[in-house]
Amino acid sequence: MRIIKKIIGFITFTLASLFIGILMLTRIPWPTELRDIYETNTIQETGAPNIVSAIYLGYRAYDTLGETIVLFIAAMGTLYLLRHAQKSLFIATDSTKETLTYKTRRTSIIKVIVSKLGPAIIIFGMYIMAFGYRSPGGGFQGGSVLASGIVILSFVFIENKSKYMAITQMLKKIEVMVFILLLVSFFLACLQALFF
Amino acid sequence: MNELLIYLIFLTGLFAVVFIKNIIKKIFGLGIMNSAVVLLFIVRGAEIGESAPILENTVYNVVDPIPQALMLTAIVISVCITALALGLAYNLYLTYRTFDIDELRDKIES
Repeated sequence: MRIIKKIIGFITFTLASLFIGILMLTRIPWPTELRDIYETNTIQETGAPNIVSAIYLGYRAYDTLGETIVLFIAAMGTLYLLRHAQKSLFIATDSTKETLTYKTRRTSIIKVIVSKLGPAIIIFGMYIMAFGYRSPGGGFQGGSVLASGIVILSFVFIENKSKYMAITQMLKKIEVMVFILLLVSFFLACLQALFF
Repeated sequence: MNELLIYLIFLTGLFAVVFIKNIIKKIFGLGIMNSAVVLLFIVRGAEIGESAPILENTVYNVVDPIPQALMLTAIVISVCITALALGLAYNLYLTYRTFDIDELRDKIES
């Protein structure tokens, strides 16, 4: 049974690698027409100097909206899985159940590195978010850098001021504030478009 | 040459997904495959230009911005897939106390 499965896996691997290899290694000249269109028209049509940001948030904004919905659904599913993990049907007996002691697995190396590195990562993420509109890739990766900084800070409990970034209540307050800022800026933009 | 290296990276991920028994390493393989595809699109799209697609100070001969914009989407989807798969693997580990797919199959069938 195992040998049959191994043979099936080998055949699958060979066929897939052949197919993908033909797809990847054939050289067709890359078309330049669309690049020229974007290069000449982006500034007049969107006003954004970064063409990738213009495509991502202007020309194909509905793609981005759908992608955000996909990300939201994946985050919901992951949170559901992690939260109901303990309540899921537990087949293994108590003898095989290991005791996961979190305190013994945390050394002070993580604590020292995180307390020094976490604030720097958060500041770097804010820098990318603020100035990323004229760097390759846009400001999107700033958000992920910021989120990774918060995740790193939430690994351990630190005594300095950066511990506030790992408290759930504080993060909720920041979320609400950012959302209110977003709404206010949206309304201000609407007012500016209407009256000025 | 670039395409050959990217193809080797892709094969590494595919090998991990097909042959390696550990679920976590299978998920790593999915991530490696996605990285290879992203690299392929960026490299092929950068063949027709030289500078980054940011139009300031009279930049000309830029690379193709379309693959970069699409690969942003692909990276986000890859993160979604990795997070969901790791959540499922965590659930499996809590239920069956193993990551090996053969042991998992034995424990599920028994």
